[in-house]
This record gives sequence, structure tokens and C-alpha cells, in this order.
Amino acid sequence: MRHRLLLFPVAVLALLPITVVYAHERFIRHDLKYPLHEEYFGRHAGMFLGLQPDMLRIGTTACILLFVFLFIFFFRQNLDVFIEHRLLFRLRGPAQRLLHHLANFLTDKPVTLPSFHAIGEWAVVLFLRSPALVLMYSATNDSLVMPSYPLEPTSALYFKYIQVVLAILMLTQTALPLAGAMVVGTWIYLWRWGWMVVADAIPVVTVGVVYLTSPWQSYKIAITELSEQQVKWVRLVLGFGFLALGWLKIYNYHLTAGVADNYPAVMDDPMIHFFAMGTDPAFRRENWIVAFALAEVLSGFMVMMGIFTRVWGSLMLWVFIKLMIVNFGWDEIPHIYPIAATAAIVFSNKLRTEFSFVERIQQKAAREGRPFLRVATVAFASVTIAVLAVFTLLYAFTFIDRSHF
Amino acid sequence: MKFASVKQIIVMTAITCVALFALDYYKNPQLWHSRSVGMARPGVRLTLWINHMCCLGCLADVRQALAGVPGIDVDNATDPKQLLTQAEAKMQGASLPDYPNAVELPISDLKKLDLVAVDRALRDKGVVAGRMELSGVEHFRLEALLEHLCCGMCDSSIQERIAFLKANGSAGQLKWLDSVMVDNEKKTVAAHARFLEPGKTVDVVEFLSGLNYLGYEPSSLRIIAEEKMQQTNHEGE
Repeated sequence: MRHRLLLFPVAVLALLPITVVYAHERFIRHDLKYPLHEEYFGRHAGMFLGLQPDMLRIGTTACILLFVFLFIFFFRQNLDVFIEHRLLFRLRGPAQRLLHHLANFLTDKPVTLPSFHAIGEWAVVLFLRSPALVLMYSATNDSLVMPSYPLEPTSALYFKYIQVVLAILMLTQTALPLAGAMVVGTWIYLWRWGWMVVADAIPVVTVGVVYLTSPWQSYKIAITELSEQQVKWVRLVLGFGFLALGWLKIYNYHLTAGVADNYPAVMDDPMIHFFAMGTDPAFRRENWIVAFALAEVLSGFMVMMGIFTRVWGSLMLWVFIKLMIVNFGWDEIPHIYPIAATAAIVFSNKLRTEFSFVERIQQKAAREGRPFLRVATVAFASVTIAVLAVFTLLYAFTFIDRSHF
Repeated sequence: MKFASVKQIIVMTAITCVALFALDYYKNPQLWHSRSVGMARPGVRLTLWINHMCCLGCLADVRQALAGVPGIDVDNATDPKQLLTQAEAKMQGASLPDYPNAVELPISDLKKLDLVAVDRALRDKGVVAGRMELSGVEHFRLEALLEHLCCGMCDSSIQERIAFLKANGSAGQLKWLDSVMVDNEKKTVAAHARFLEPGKTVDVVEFLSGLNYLGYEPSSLRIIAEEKMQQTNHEGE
């Protein structure tokens, strides 16, 4: 029965007419002001994986960075013990406690500070209610879910009312499973506008998952904490959303460059400069696209798989707040929602990793007194994960001509 | 605590999804059935709504004013019905006609038509079109040539304040406007219109007045029909 139930939505999706219709004005334009070097994103004979040299360089930087983070993460227990009990064992009192909390924060372990717990509770409340603000904002701007999806005048009124009803359910915490189903149903409806729109809106599903797993009598209780399963799903969906958005930036590179042409300030980011270091300035915009995209891919991947979730979540918080306040201004006020979702994860004390089996293997090898096996296991796992995560799609994209997008 | 079952979740999600599709299909048939883009065809029209057009004398002035404007077919214009002659209007002291009266002009060549030239020609004759309604072009942009675009602040002021005007259009002004693009090098401001349904119109005076309100006087305003517009999606994360 359960299998049949799961097959049902798949069948519905397959039957839905998912053709992209001629309604391009639905989306915000980010017209290029200057042409790009189209050949940059194609195949290059004689190069490793056929990648353009600068793209390969940025990819390698991202790959090494991911490897380093994975390697350190798999030894986080040992590193924590080494720093707290060997390196800084002389510390006492507040300094020792501060270091302990900081180490726990950085290594995704529970932080037992009351203030941390209070911020976490507040972040959950914000996360559960902020989508209502975004919906109301979109409704008053004749848009669906996000201001960048303008509604057709002929149907705008109905969609706006639906959004208001949904927002009321969210604000009053009434029948949250129904609200979750409406969120997910609306997201599936976005197939109507093409798969890229659906990928763009994946982060919206994050809160839908939490609503779906909330009790029917949600209006009677104060939800200030997410269960371990909910945190896991929020992490997986949100992380996957940003991973997909990152790859979309390279896949649909004209659009990404169009953003930079219209908002040049986004190109000045230290993290992206780091990824693009040593590249040819003649391909400045192209390098920026790949660096920006891979930075997002890494952030999304780390959050999704639970590798230094708090560190990368904090970086994402910084980027979102910067985009909202500095780069795009009021137009990006709906960023309150991903900020709230990321904050709910960063301040959660129920973080887990999807790669816990690697940690278990290395800890088992440690107990058995096999140091080489420990390092080899972690190194092999880290390299494999990093290479697959960075180069698989980078390589695949070189076979797809996207110059007409 | 009672939680939603998998069955309930699937049913509720499917209902939401199907309902949204049905609503979209029912209310936006133009998006589901329209594939071909209507370019400059006999159906492309410019309707001038002139509040002061009480008699055939006024109409004659309007026709005379527009005679030299390229891109419109004045000879085949559809005039307002039941206009009094000048003599009748003078003698009877009759009650005023229903305001406003409109002249519907077929657009013979969209590329040659300059809406600022239309406006000026009318003003030179002493009449003003309160509304200039364009119909019959599904996808288009209005491209205004602004000689005064001296700096980045000029660019940003147009971007920001047009959006502000749109947001404050309590009577639905500029609802047709999707986005505005400023090209400082070409000195142009492009107003991209949303899909224009058959039978619906866009009042280009709203855009002209908006530019005037912001302190700009366009030297020309052209309609650029768009065969295929760039399809893009939300960005910014």
C-alpha cells in the first residue's frame, strides 16, 4: 500500500503537462550588457576533462577546499580532544568554557549555552512564520511565492487570495500539515514554468517539510524546536536547493552574468575572489560565474551532507544578509526566509552528518591501533567525495551547448 | 498528538497542485494555447482617447494633425459615431457628448511609428490624447529615447521611481509593465510589457506621463515588437 501511495505522486507528475509555455515575461530579466566568451563553457581539446583552463583551476581550488574540510571533519573528535586537552589544557574558567563552546559550535556538536538555545528557539519561530511574510509581500506585488514570478493579471486575484489564506495558516500555525501540502503542491505546480524554475524554488519546500511533519493541532502548541528528523530534512532540502542553484548558475550562465552586469557589486566578494585566484583576467566575468557557482555548490553540499554545517551555514547567513542589505536592497527582502531557515539549522543542537560511516570506520581503526588505515580511509573517502561533488557536473556541462539560453 | 498520514499528505498535495493547474488553465487560456506571436498585422491598433472631441470639427483637426505622422493609417481610422457637425454644435448649444471620444488608428508600420510624434502632432493642433491605447501586439517593449541620461543616478532614478510609481498606481496604472531597462550608452529606457491578451490594451500615456513626472522628456517613443524574449528565472541567491 505504501509503495502504491508513493507511486501516485510520481504518476501525477508524469501526467502533468509540464511544457513551458510562451510567457517569458513571468520572469525577471537579467539581460547581458556585454557578450560572454561562449567558448569558455564548451569543450577544450587536450585539456583535462575538456575543461577550460580557468574553469579547471577554479574547480581544482573548490575540490581541494572540499577535501580539506572533509578530511578535518572526519577527524573532528580527535582534533577537539587534541586542542582542548593537549594544546590548551592550561586554560581554566571562562576562557576554557568559551573555547569548549566554540569548539562544539565549529564541529557541529551540541552547544549547551542557554543564550544559544534561546536564539535557536527564536530562529525556529522565525523560520516557521517568515514564509507568511514572503507570501504576503508577493501577493501585494502581484507575484507567486517570490516577487520574481509575476502573476498574470487574469488570474492574479485568485492566486493572491490563495497566498493570503496560506499565510494566515502559517501565521496562526493552523493545520500546518495542510499548509505544508499547499507549499509542496504549489512547488509542483511550478513545473508548469519549466524545470529551472522548480530547481530555483527548491528552498521553498524546506518549510513545507516541517509543516507536513507537524501535528494537526499545531495551533494549540508553541513550536520552538525541531525534531532530529525535521532538522535532517531541513538540512537535506535546503542544502540540495542551494547545491542545485549553484549548478544552475553555470548551466544557465547567461542569466548569472546578466545579474553581475546589472548589479556589479556582487562581483566584489572575498570568498569568490578566493575561488577565482590565479585565473586569467580576460575571462573575469566567466571566472566569476564559475567561482560564484562553485562557492554555492560547496555551501549547499556541506549543509546537505552535514559537514561543518554551522560553519557553512554561518557563511551562507552572511552572504544572504549581505545580498539583502548591501547588493540588491529591498528587491531581495524575501531573503528573510532562507536566512531564517539557515539560522534554524545553525542554532540547532541536533545536527548529524550523512557521512557518519566514515567517522565510524576511522574510529574503529583507531581502537584497533591501525593509524595508516585511519588516514587512508579518511583520505580516500575525502578525495572521492570531493572529486565526484565538483567535477562530475562540471564535466557533463561541457557537452551541453547552452549558448542559446 | 495526531500527525498527518502519508495518504493525507499525498491527497492534499495533489489537490493543491491540480487546483492550481486548473485555475491557471481556466483563467489564462492565452498562455496555454498561444504559440504564435502577433506582429504588425491589420489587428495592431492605436486608439487615441481625446476628452475634447465634441464635433466633426475637432475630428477634422485630429485627422489633419495625424496625417503626416508615419506608421499610422489615418485614412482607415475608425471615427467616433454620432458626432455633431460644427454647425450643429454651434447652433444647438447641445449637451456635451459622452466623454471621452476615441479615434482608432490601424498601425501600418510599427517600426516607423513614434508615439511622441503622435503626441506632439496633436498638441500642435491644440488637442491632447488623454490615453493612447495600444492593442494587437502580444509581446513588445516601449523604447524611449532620453537625451538627458547624463549619469548613473539618472539611470537608477528611472529604475527605482518607475517601480515606485507602479506600486502607487492605485487605479491600476502601469500594471502592464513588467520591468524597465536603462541603457545609458544608447540613451534609451525600455519598458518591457507583460503578455498583452487579445482584446486588451496598454495605455502608453501612463509610461510617458511617468517619465515626465520623473523629470524626463523623451524625444521619441517606439514600440518594439518582440518575437522571442529571453527566458530567465529568479536569481540573486
